[in-house]
Amino acid sequence: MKKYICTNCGYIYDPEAGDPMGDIPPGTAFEALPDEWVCPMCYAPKATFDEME
Amino acid sequence: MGLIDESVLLFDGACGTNLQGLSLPPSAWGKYEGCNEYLNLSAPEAIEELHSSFLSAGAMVLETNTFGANSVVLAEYGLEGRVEEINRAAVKNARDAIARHGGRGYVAGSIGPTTKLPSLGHIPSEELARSFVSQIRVLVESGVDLLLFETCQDLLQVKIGLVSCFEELSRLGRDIPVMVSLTIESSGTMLVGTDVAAAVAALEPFPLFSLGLNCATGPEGMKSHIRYLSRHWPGRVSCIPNAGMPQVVGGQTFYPLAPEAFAAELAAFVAGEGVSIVGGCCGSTPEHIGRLAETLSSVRPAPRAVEEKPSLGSLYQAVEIRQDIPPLLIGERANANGSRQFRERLLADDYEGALAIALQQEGDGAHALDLCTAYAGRDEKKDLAVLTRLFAQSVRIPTVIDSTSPDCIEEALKIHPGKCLINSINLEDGGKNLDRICRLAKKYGAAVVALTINETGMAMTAGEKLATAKEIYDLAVRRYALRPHDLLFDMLTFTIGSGDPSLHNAAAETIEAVRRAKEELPGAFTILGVSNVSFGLSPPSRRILNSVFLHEAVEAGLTAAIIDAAKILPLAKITEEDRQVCLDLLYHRRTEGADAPLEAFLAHFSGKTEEEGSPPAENGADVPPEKALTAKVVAGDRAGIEDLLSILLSRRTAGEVINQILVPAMRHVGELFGRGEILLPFVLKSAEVMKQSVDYLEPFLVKAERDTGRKVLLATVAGDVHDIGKNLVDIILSNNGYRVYNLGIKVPAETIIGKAREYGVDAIGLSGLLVKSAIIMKESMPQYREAGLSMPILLGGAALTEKFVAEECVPGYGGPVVYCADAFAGLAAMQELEAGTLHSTTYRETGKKVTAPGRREARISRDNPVPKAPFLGARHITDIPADLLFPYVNEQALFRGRWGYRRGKMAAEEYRRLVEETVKPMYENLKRQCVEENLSRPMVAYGYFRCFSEDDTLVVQHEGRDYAFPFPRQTNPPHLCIADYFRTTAEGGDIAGFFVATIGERFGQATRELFEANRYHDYLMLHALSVELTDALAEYWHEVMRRELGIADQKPSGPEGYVVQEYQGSRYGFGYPACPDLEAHRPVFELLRPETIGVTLTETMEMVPEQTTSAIVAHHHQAKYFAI
Repeated sequence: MKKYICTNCGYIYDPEAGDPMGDIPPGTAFEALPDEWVCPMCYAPKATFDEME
Repeated sequence: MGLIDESVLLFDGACGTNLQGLSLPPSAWGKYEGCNEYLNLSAPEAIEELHSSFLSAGAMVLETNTFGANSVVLAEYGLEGRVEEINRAAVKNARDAIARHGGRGYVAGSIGPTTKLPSLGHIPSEELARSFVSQIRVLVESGVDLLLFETCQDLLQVKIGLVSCFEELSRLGRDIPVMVSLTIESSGTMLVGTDVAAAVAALEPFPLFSLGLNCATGPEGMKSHIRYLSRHWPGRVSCIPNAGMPQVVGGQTFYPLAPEAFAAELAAFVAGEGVSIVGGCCGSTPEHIGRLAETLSSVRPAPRAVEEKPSLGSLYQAVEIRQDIPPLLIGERANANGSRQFRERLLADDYEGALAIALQQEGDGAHALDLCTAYAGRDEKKDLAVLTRLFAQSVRIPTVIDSTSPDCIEEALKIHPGKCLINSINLEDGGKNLDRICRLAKKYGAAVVALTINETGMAMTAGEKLATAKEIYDLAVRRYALRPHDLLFDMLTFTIGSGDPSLHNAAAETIEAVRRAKEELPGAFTILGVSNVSFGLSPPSRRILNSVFLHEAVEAGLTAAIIDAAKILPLAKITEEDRQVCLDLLYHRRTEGADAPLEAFLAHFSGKTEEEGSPPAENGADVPPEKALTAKVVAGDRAGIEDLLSILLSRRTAGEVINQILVPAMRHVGELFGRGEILLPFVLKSAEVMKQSVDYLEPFLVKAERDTGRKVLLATVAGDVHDIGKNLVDIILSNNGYRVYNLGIKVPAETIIGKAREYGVDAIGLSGLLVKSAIIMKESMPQYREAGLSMPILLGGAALTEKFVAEECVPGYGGPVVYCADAFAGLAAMQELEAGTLHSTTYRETGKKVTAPGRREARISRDNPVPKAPFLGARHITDIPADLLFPYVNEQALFRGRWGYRRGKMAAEEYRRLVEETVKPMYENLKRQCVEENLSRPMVAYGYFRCFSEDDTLVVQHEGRDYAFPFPRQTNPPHLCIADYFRTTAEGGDIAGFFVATIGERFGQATRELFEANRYHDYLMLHALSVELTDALAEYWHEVMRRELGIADQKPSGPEGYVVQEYQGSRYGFGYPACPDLEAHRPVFELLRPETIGVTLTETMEMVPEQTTSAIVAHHHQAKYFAI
């Protein structure tokens, strides 16, 4: 699964780790995150994220 | 001997300027100061006296004092009900003067242009026509000897006037001479941009006594236009200039040309150019006319050799039907039946998009444009009216009105100022439609395409084609009084690609009919819909066959072709072999033993791709300048831009270059950005090209063009010094054709309200980065409402959300309040405003409970060890090396976020190359620049202080004083508050760190200079770097403080580690989510005294310079970021 990076603060969403602070279990693909999900570090919306290489 | 027999007609001099010079008693003007026409009623003796003075001077024709005596102008004085009375009195005053002079003299009924320009939509055609008719009727009934439309500024106004005039004369059963006199400005065109040739093309079909010029300039400025009229206008030519170009001296308008010089110059027009009607306009006195009369007594008008050039015309220019290099190319793509792209845009009501197709064809080299809006389910008449108006205003080449419905055709002819071509008439129904359409062509002065179709069907052979053509020719010329040069015969083109044996010779027959037309239809022209010939064949082969067919038809004498100009190949680019195969098919030639021509054609072109069949890729010289400019804007390429613009200025006005090429190009760039196809830095490069172009064109803009564009005011709200977001909006809006008033930063609502009123703006854009700015926006909404404002307010800023705007801001204001996530959302909002579809932002709860992000620990441990402070109090550090910060720069946030180099839809490899080849080299350059130019000067004021928490407040102790920091607490679980991370007095107290860090003011200066120099791209890049460097300094100094506190054992694993706080404790920036209140800066500044390092506070507690950040440092191992 692909990692995504927050273009506002640089936080990397790693699907293997999920986002414990946002109640996102490990193994959740970025595409499967709810629309309301925001960056756990800077609260930027999902659209702010960019696919990692 | 009557007026038309006089070899030279001498008109009188100025009316208005002489009347204004009389010392009339105030009672003469009454309530109507400035209304010269009212004087016909209130001071008839003064008018008669003025007329009389010109008759004494030798004038043969008096103009009635009725220039503004129409309902449109008189309405401005509340006199619209007295049109008849005033005009009648005016004619009587002139007649009375003539009677006093022995009855010698003629009366010309003066008809002014009114004060409205119908081409620009100031007044509907029908209303203007009514105003003209009511004036003309009275003038004619009162017995004027001729009618004079003078000071004409708008070609459409003249056409409406003439159509009304000739209808009214015919109704009254009168036939008196009608004169038209145009006003050509010193720019060389009429007010709305019409050149003299376009005026001749549009007016030549009307039975005018004369065409000429008056007003505007003196005779000197009229020379080249008079020369053109002398050579190309079939009727008489008139010249009635001002007494020189008006000058303003000491607040008084003054006309510099003395009677002698005035007379000499006009006499030279008579003797040299055959001008046969002269007189004086503004500033000319009885002395001027007297001297002119003397001079003319020994002058005869020169004989004129008139060469008529049958032309079509737009509002701006004439295009000869017979081109020097034939044929006349008529673009075929603005046709709902012929072009899918055009149809789709029409179906989507995307008129601008439909216009873009027209402009593209113009750029591709079309000489005129076919416009057809007939499509099942659409309102043809409405679509045609909307697009005719758009085409007329925005396209420089003439319009071909393509419809079979007389009603639709008339609707378009009513609003098109130029000479149009109607497509088409035929005899299919025995002549019913032809009758109506020919009458319209005569009435509005249009040319007509005639299809060779009669009641038995489409003419197939050359003989049949000519027989039908002759029948139509006779009808049109004899019955409807059209001239042969108003007719273009379409000999019909059938496909030879179907294999239908009955069509084998169809192309040859068509070409033969074209050949015979010249002799058998004298004076008329031919036209073909070229691409029909290849219908059903493969696109690459069609292009070649069409080109060969066109070439053959032109050789046979074809005048015009309806075709996609972009798809014609010059013969030189077609191989001999290709050409032979095409010719064999066109003439159905078959060599012994070979395949039939169609089979040979198919075999020859089978497998050929478009590339092989198309000309080599567009290279420099072949690209039309319109396309080249568009390409340069899109590519953000400034090289050679001024050369291109100077070429374009020879073909279009500056306003047209902006509105027809540059603005559409920028919109395209915006669309590409919206689709993720280009990145922000490239948009800024495009905006730079736009800005440079507009600056170049600025001096060429006429006032009316300069004053166009919706106006928008921009401001960063009170207390906020951040201007990058607002400036990006400025860049994007001002380079998309909007007029932006950028009020800068920290602008109080009172100022915004005052300026919004002063400039009369159409929208207000408010910006602000801080949480506090969002609050200020919310709180100021009622203030805008109470001030009576109602224009839309656009809100943008990092702390705003759709929800906040919809729920907190919208209710406070009466007009629309719109959340704009970025500059392009601002642009979209402005476009919606223009389209009338802009509404307040709404927000609908998704129903899902959004849990606040951030840490979840509900319990903060109370027994964490308190580190020993390295010192107590404040220190100032000013010797931090600039390059020390670079490793702390968050490169991902810089590249992708602030600079906008997002990967988006790019492939991984493509993005990697962009970063390696463009982004990183630029970053390296900028880093070097920072060091070499000493841009970055990192300095820090920081310190450690004893403290204790007391509920939500942290009390900091320093030199015997307490400084309270009340912190907000989350209203939702886990109810965090910064104070919780510090021990209470009972727990033994604690240590808190604070810092204020700045990289100095040089960045601020440097970025300001870039913005002011319109170097948008470099501006964004440098500003973004300064923001990230400031944050890098904070990151670096936080690390220094952790080391000093002895809590730096845990080290972040790399750049991402810093992002997710892989270290002990946290820094909380004031103004940011955990402590949004900037009021805390007051005690921070008292504790740290950062004034020493050049940082000050604004009245709203913001720090200056902008590149400064502050924080409280907590050492507690559970302290991490959270949001209130």
